[in-house]
Amino acid sequence: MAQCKDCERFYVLEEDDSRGDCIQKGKDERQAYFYTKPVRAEHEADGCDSFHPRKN
Amino acid sequence: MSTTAETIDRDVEELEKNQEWWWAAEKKRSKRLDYLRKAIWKKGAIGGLYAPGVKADLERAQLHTEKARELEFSPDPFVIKFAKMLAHVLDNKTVFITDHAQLVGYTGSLPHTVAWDPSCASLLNHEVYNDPTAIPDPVEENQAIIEEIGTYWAGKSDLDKMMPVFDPEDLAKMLSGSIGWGVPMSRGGYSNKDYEYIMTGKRGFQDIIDELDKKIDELDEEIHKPVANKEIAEMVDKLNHWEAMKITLEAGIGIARRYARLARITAGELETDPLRQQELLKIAETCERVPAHPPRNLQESFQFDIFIQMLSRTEAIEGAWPARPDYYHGAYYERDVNIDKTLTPEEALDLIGEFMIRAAEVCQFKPKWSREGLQGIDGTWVWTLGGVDANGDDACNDLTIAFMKAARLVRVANPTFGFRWHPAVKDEVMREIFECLKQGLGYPNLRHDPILIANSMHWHGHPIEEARLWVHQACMSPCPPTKHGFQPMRMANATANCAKIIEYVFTSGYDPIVNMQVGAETPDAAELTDFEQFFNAWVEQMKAIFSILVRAVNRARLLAPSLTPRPFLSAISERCIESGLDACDSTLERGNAWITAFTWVENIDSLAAVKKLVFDEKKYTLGELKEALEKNWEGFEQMRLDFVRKAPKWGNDDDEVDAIMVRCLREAARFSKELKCPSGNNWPILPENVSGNIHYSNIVGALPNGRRLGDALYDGGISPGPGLDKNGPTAVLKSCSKINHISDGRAFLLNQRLSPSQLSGENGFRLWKAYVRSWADLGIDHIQFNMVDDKTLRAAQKEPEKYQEVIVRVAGYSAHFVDISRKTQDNIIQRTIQGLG
Repeated sequence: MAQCKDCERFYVLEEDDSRGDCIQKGKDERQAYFYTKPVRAEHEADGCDSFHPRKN
Repeated sequence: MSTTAETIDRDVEELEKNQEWWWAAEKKRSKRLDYLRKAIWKKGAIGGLYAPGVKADLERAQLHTEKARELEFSPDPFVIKFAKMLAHVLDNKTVFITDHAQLVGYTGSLPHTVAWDPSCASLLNHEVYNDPTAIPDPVEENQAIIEEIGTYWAGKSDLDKMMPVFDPEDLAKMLSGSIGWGVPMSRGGYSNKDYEYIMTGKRGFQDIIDELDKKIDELDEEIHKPVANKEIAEMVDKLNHWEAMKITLEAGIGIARRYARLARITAGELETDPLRQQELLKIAETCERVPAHPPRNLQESFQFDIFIQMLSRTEAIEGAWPARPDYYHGAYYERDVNIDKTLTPEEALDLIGEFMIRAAEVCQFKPKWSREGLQGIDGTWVWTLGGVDANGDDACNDLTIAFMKAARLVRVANPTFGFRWHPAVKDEVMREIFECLKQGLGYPNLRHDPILIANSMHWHGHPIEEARLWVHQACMSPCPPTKHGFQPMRMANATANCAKIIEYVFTSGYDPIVNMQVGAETPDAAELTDFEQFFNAWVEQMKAIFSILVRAVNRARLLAPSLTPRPFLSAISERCIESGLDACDSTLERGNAWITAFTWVENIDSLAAVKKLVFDEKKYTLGELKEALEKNWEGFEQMRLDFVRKAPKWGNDDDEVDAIMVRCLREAARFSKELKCPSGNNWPILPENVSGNIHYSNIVGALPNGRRLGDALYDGGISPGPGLDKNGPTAVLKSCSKINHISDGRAFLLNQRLSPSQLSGENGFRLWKAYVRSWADLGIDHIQFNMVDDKTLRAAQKEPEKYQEVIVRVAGYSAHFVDISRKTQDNIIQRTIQGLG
């Protein structure tokens, strides 16, 4: 089962490795931007469209 | 100069010659500003609906509700629960950084979203549910989420909690929509702030937290001494308020750090352009510094301000943006640009332009009646420029000028500027104002500083040093951003649809549109035998309407600290840090209330018509007039034309009708002193409209000035009816000068249209300046100008896609012409274009 921490878009928090940021590049018809949402490292990511397995 | 540059210059020159200012601005602004300007999602409603692609932000609503559910059975007092809900939103919402941006912070989760706070009012939640154009895809799935959220907040939202505590009769009249606008809530309206405490560079959030920690420790010790009394019981509430304030400040620092982290990771791992990497690192450094600590430079100062506004707009739905950016950011501009030269003027212009853009994109989901009343914008962000400092000296600085230059480059319709004119304003500043007007922005409007300072002292007793610091609390009303001067919430429902006053004289207070008794039960108009009796009935109706609205606000203000507290607003207010009381606690405030008087001038022209045609000339009886109005003038066309053409009209320097204006205002002013706010201060009236003249056109019945149900009402607070000012611009000013702008009311909105071709060149500036001087000498508190010609406006109606960026002054705010309704567009075109000189 994939988890957020296995994703290359997951950036772990230094002070708490159970949490991190899911950072992505977004684009709409008017602008491009980087955005982030806090996630738990062990959050299930199987159904996530944005999941990109981390390359080791 | 390169060929390319020459081409660009020639193009700009040609565009400016053709008065196509919007295309010229596009060529003149930097690539960064051009990108950011075009990146804005227009959030102002068009015809009451949000623009295609703009969607309600469900994320905030879900986070807020999630925490509310979790805390439902917690023993925490409500103020702490509420602070924790806000913190949960701030800790978990999506944050983004737009490409090329140097400033960050937005109320929604993504650029195209409109923040929806589900805890404010169930009626708002119903509107989200019933607005399929604003529900994000997949609509059905999200509608189910909205329903679930709405169901949770039913009975728990602020307004739901307040409803049972109002007088039911007043509530029914208020919510009928016929006489008022808005609802009495401490988290929905216009919040001024204690900028003298938070924006003077003396403290950041961490400094306040440190102070709170000390106070909490001391009080905690006091509370647990071996004694019990009333004072100790009250100390528990203080402790709770301080704890709640601290939670919101920590959350504010937290979200800034989240932006910093996003910027730092993006710079280090995702962005490949070295220049952009540096900019992102600068953003990171800025957000690590503010709001935790005071700003050190212009970028940090702007960012600090944005965070304060964003946090305040997370806590409440704010329909205005009181600000004085040149005054509070000016020292940083001076240091960065003129002294240290760490910023070039061009780099500073980029920051200023972006600061305006960040404000322009802010939006919170509002009910449809509010969107209709503010066509094309989300709220009235009237930023205050110019004026004097606490000592009475000219406060204009280089940033005052830079803001006006930036405004011409980014050409946003919101924010706009209200310029505090005083006799010592330098010519170079006046030229900048004129240039903005000439280029069709419709702003800055001009405010007469000496008059309004005196007005603030007269109506609310603000000491002169505080009165001199005033900012626009909404479109028009001055309010000092000081410890005891700032009004934490001006609730929007004290906005009277004044045309109902004269309408109710003929219906004895019965409202035929909403089918209920709303006004006073005055005698049958047909039985009134002289003008004095008729006028007395008018006074009774005026008092009845104003009282209903004010009673509701007073009740809401009294209950706000316990039912609907504002811990973040309190946390940035000296009086609350000092006292441990909520910002809305009326014992801490001097009072700065006002009744916005929409559709006021119809009363004057109607009273003048009745006086002349019924009582003086006896051409018609009141019975006949009552019947004609009941029938919406149908079958009475000749009579209607008499009331339009043969009665004197306000704005023509006609002493007879002008005396009626003054008499009405003085009756209202007298009553304003009987109406008291919870702080014990007065409730003066402030005649103006936003787009209320259009919103109310189907709510106000036929009137004695010849208006029919459905016709647009007049557009200004004291502007003459469109096309009814026949004697030129000086006559308009002379009429307006018969009003005492200090003691007859809080402020008076005057719209004027001027001809752009007449005002071109140096001679145009001289003519305009002389006109402004006359305006000032006559002691009029406000004037705003439209300088876009009919040809352009009609072309924009015909081919809106080619004129997307044409801006007009509506009334109290500006909007892109294509974003306002056809009726409002026509109303603006109908305004008389005044020739000067």
